[in-house]
Amino acid sequence: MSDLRNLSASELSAKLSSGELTSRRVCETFLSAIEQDSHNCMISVRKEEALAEADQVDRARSDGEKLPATAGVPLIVKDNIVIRGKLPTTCASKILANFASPYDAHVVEKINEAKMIVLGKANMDEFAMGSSNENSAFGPVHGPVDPERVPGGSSGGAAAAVALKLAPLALGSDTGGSIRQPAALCGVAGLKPTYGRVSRYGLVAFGSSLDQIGPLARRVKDAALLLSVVAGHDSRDSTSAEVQVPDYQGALDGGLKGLKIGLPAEYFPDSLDSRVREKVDAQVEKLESLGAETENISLPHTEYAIAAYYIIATAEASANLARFDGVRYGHRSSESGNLIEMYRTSRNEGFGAEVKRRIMLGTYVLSAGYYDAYYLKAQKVRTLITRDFTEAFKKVDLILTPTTPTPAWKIGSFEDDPVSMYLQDIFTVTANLSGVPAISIPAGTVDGLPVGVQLIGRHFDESTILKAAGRLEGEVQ
Amino acid sequence: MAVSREDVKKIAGLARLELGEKETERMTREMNDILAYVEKLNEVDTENVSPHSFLEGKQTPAMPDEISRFGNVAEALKNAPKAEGSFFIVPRVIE
Repeated sequence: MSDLRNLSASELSAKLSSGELTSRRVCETFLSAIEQDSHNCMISVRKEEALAEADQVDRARSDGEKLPATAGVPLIVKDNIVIRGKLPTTCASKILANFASPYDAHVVEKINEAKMIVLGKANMDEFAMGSSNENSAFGPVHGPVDPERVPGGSSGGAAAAVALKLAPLALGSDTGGSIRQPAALCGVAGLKPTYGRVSRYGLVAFGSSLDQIGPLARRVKDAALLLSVVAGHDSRDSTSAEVQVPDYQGALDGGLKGLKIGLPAEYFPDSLDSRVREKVDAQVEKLESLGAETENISLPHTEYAIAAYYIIATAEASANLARFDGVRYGHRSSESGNLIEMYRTSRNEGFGAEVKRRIMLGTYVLSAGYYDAYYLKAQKVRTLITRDFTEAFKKVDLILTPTTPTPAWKIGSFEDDPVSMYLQDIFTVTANLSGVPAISIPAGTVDGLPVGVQLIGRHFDESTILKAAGRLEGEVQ
Repeated sequence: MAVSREDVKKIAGLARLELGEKETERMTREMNDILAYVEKLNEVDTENVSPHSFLEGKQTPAMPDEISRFGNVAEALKNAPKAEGSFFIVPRVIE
């Protein structure tokens, strides 16, 4: 039974197609693992529905029906992506604890068309705000390697579940690094697509100009597979790009000869942990041995990225979370009062501390008298950060960096120090600010704890990222 | 100090949050720490830089002006804390 969990999604897909495995057997195996797991990766599980869907796929297959290659393959979905039906979409918040969505997200429609099976909703930082999965109303997620350490966030549950083989695939979301950073800390692969590559319809919005849904998997090939299922234009998301979806899985076959890879000085500061640096340097050497050429580059506005990000993201969050007012859905306070009092107490009771902090900051930077000094200024700096990438990509095809400055820290380390926690995102936020795609793949361990290496690519060039990451992964011990 | 406790109370009002005394104290401290950090942005020369990098070369896509019916009022009301008929019920708005 446990051998089944070691298989990649691609391998599972092949064995399901050939009839060697039934979808029921596959789903039962993973559901059983989920049931026995103690890391608190999941907020909810849809056992009966998943098994019913699995049976449907098995029946269709034995009836000789033509099925998509992914039919019967299970996955888990971060709990800020809506699935229609009784199973709540909570965003790991008390304010949405019982919210049963009346519609499916675009990516869920695509998963259903591909006949993949959602096993349940993954735990996360509340409303995707956090880098440690400690901000969940349903309790923290425990790291897969050391349960006293964080799995990273905000897609901590998804990353840990994939690392623990509770599912072969997961969908997470990334606003400032929330797929890539937990992927790095948990020792799995995680990709943030280009802004606009995957529809945000049905993703509960945090930072609308920054959010993207993306895949988490143990192997790059599987990330490519899931990306090709969910990518593509959706007219219900006005920021969704009308750009053709290339053959991401086919892209993995290419060689790396002549590929130019930039190493930005600003991501390798003297203060970077030398053990992390060593692991990332080893990846550079491997890429060179595979035929890629590396060169030193500069992304001069990197040091301003966190400041710009925390103004823009919180501003957008304060606007996006205004809808949670106890009127149409979500928690409404039982204390009676006038309308304003109802808003205030419902929101106060429903939101956690980090969410309140970000709403407050966002409200402040957008308020009269401060908009120009903060929000407008941050957006201008964002333009400069984006230009850094545009300039760099005139010389190189990919940019390589560490994903995070350190491996996983102990739960509770940043209790009273939000700024230090925010600085953990230092290598990941630039990709969200610029809209470029980026992947984190495992780069070995430091003191037994996983670290990741990040590859950043041109807008809509996920293929090159996947190709390089796939080759690199092949070489990792 | 960028924000005082009074400022924080005002902002909480705008954000429709209700922070207690201790929470206000803590929030004041934390907001000031974060705002002190973001002061960094003033080091950057942004003269003649557009804040709309995202929009360069893009048009907001238009949708055809066609009416479509949302058929599922019942399901839309299912999550309502208080509903009656096809209405959401709220405390009195106009005194």
